[in-house]
This record gives sequence, structure tokens and C-alpha cells, in this order.
Amino acid sequence: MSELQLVLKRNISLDTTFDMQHLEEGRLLVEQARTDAHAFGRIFDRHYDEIFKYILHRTANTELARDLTADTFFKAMNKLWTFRWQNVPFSAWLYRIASNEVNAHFRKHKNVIRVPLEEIMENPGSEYRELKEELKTAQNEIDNNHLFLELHQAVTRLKPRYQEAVTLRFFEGKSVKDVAVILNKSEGTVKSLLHRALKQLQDILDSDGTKNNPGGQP
Amino acid sequence: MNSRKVEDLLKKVSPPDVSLPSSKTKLRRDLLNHPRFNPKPSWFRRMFPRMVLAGGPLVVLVLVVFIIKMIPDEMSAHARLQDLETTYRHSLVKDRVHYTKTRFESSQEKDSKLLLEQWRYKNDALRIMLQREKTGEYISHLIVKGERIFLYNDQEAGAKIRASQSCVKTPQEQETKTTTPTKNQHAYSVSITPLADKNGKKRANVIISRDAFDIFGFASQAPGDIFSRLQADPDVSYAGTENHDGLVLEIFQRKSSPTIVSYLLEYKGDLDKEVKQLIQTMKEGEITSGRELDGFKIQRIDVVETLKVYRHDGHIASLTRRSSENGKSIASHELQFLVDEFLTYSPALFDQFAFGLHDFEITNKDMNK
Repeated sequence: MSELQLVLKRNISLDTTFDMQHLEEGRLLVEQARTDAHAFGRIFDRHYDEIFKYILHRTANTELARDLTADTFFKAMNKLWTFRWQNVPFSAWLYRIASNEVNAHFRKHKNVIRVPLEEIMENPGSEYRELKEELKTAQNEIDNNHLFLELHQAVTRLKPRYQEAVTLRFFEGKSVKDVAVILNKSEGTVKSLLHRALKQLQDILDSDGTKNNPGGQP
Repeated sequence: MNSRKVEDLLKKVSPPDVSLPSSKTKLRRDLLNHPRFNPKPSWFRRMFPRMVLAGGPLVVLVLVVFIIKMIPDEMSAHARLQDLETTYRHSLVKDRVHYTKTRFESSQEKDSKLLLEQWRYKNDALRIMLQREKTGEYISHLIVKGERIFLYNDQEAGAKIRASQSCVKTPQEQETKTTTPTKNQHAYSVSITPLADKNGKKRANVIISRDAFDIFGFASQAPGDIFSRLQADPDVSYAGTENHDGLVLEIFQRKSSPTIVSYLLEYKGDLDKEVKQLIQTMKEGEITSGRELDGFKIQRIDVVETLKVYRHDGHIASLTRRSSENGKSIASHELQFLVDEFLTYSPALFDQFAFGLHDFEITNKDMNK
């Protein structure tokens, strides 16, 4: 099957935000990064912020997001040799590792999902003063974002694949095409995932609204 | 609330846009200072003996140069092979990494040409990488250092690589390389290539030889290995020359003989079982071509192994092994040497951490089984 047929089969057109020149530069950088620390440092500089943000939006916990981001990059460093370039951005691979780390964490620590908002807001900081202060400041900013926290709590009650799609689409602002590339699915599948996710969120929010205001309007 | 309103709500929210610059800096530092990028100098528990490809005495080299210029047509195939091998050895560079890149093609999988890269450093380290030429997909990656083997995380592909084909051996395991053919028929090995069905019958090509290989064994031969085993075979003949891009190629052939035999096997049941039965029948008595035995039929067919070597530098161009039925090729393996050069040694070339290979808990001895 030709490369073009493969692209069409996956329903990914070339006018995504990932342009071809950038892809080629990324490919060369990834090859260098397998053995060169500086090259890996450049990869880290390029992708840390977006990966951290994605994990933060999945977890709403700065300390946890910091740790899972570290796990993601350590895993990427160890598994860089297994990365196979298929004209898909390297960041998509990182997002998949990050998703796996988050999902694995939630599986192991299921009660984290159900921790009440009040406890999240009072999450303690790290050992080091500067890091602790940094975490505290960042967490405060999250805590003040009540709408986000409320939606986030609802999103975390969805299945992992719905959480991934919703977070990438609405919290990260990715296009449906970009979400499809990251999740390695067709655009149609992503639209379907989002549609079902929104329906479930609707039920969750309605249910929460009824619980908080029994007998009142949703 | 309907799902449209949920979507609007999600679009309306401003997710927190926080950063942790100190944590980021610390993580970056930890990653770049990781042993993966800062390997400790390797420590070898044993020293290994020199490989077979060590250069010969200076007198022999001078003599060979003289002989090559004076090669008469009536010179024997073995003498020519030896000359070419010596010329090749003359190009070997000590204390550098010998790097070869070969293309392997099998008639079994017409669209799956494989590229095999090998790095060998004295007897200390060996690294092999295998990838599909068409897609660039890496199938296997292997590093052998001393008694330790590190594999790419694809167990099936990794298990198929036989490091023993060019094994880094310990002094205790090292044996003098056999250069004379053995007369012990039980020392022969078997190579099986499944073929397309014909007339509703299952078929396979079975080659029985002192040096029959599976695909990876054939593909991972080093130039020195090829020279050595063909020189050791009394049935190798000189087949003339041909011109390739203005360069002269010397051609050698090894045809069906007591040292290499090819059969076409027609069978009904399990291939492995049928081949085992064939071998057992051979041990018990002579196999007659065309004979039908307990549900399978064997027919002796022609096999030719062709080696092409550049006259000017002794580098191997290609090695082909082809079985034919009634003059028509039915199974073939071809190995082309694309690159044969020497690199400056660097520990990074054999650093299993850099390539994400994991420790494979098996000794070289087990790999030779």
C-alpha cells in the first residue's frame, strides 16, 4: 500500500497543524536524540510544556502532574529506540505515553478520582522550598478556577478513552484531526467518541445538579 | 442540560495555564545526566582472542600482491579465493569498528528485502540491526558484549538473531575454526524454505549442507565467514568474471555435491514432522530421488551457491544460493554487501542504554543450540 493510500485510510490530510517540513526536522532530531543528550534536551524543551499541561488538565493536581510528566519523559527516553517514524509527529507519541501514565495512575489509585474538591484544594506541596512554593502557587491558580474543577471532576468519571478525547479537544484546544493523530484513530471515530463523551457528561452534570439541588432546576 | 450546552461549557472554560519552571529545569537536568547519555567506561571481565580476520604476515601479503597481478586463467578456484581473501584482509584496519551493511532478499518474501547492519569491534563487541528496506521498520536490534546480550523489545524477532553466527566467544568457548570438511554425515544441518502449493500439494525446499542457514543466519554472514567456509569446501569452482560498473567481479560457484544437497519435498501433514522423518530416513539409508515415503515425496534438485568478489579489493559484492527445478528457480536467498568499511571506535556504538535494549538472560552457549 502506498504512503498516500495509508494517509487516506487513516483520514489524515496534510493540512493539519503538523506541517511536513516540521515533521522532517522532528524526524532528524529524534534520530539524534537516541544517542545525543543535547538533542534529547531539545526534544524536551519543545514538548515539555504541552505534555505537562495535558497531564495537569487530566489530573488537576500540580504535584501529580509534575511527577507523571517526569515519568513520561523518562519512559520516552528509555523507549526512544522503539519509536518508528511514520510521518506522525513525535508529540503524538509523547501524548500516548502521557495518557498511558495517567490512566495507569488512575487505575492504581482509583480513589483519587473520587477525592472531594475540598481535599484537592488543600493538596500539600513538595519538600523543597522553591519547588514547594512553585507547586503551591500553581495549585492555587487551579483551585481558583472553579468552572474548570467542576468540569474536570465530571470528566474524570468518564472512561479513559473519553477523558483523553475530551481533554485534548476542549482543554488542549486540539482540532479533531490532531486528536485523531494523537489517539491513532480516524477522525470519524474521534467525533463519535466526543459525541458519546458529551452525552455521558450531560448525564453526570445533570445528576450532580440534581444531587446538589434536589427538586430544583438542572 | 443537553450535550450541546455541555460542549459550549467545555469551550467556554479556560483551563489553568500554569507552569513549573524550577521543576522543569530539574527534570531536564536529571534526564540529560542520566547514565543513558553518560555511560561509564565499559568493563570487560574477559579478554577475547583475535578473530579469524586478523591479518597475515607481511611476506604473504607481498607475495599475494605479486600473485594477483600474475593470476593465470588456470589458477584453481581455491587459490583465487585465497588471494581475494588475503587482499580483503589487507584492507582490514585494526582497532577500528568493522561496519557492514547488507541487503538480503529471499524468494520466500518477494517484497521484504531486509537491510542488515553489523558493527564488530575486535572480539569485544558485536551489534546487529535488522530492518525492512521498503518500510524502514526495525525488526530486531542486538548487542553482544562478553557474555551479555541485549535485545530490542521484540522477543520474537530478537530470538531469531543468532549471534553465534559471528559469536563473540570467551577464551574457554573459543575453538580453532575447522577448515577441513568433516566426513561425519551427522554434522550436516538443514535449511527449510516453504514454497507455494502446486497442484494442491504442499511443498518445501530442503537444503542439507554443512553450512545450511536459516534466513537470519544466511543474512548475517560476515565476509570473513563466507571466505572461510567456501575455501574449506572442495567442490567450489571458478566460474569466470563479469563486469560491474567498470569493475571486474570474480565469480565462484558451489553446485550440488556431497557437501550441499537440495531437495524438493511434497508433503501432506506438518512440515517440521515431515522434514524430521526425511532426515531420519536419510540416516537409515540412501534417499532415492522421486521416491515416495510414508505420505511425502522427495526429489533431488539442483542448488547453486554463487559468490561474486571485486577483484581490485577483495570485497564481496554478493552471495546467492538458488535451488532450481528443471532449470527454473524455485527458492533463492541473496545477500548483497552494500557497505564494508571501518569506523572509529566509540562506546556509544555498543551502548545498550542508548538504544533502549534490555538485558537478555541467556548465555552465548545457549544461543548456539
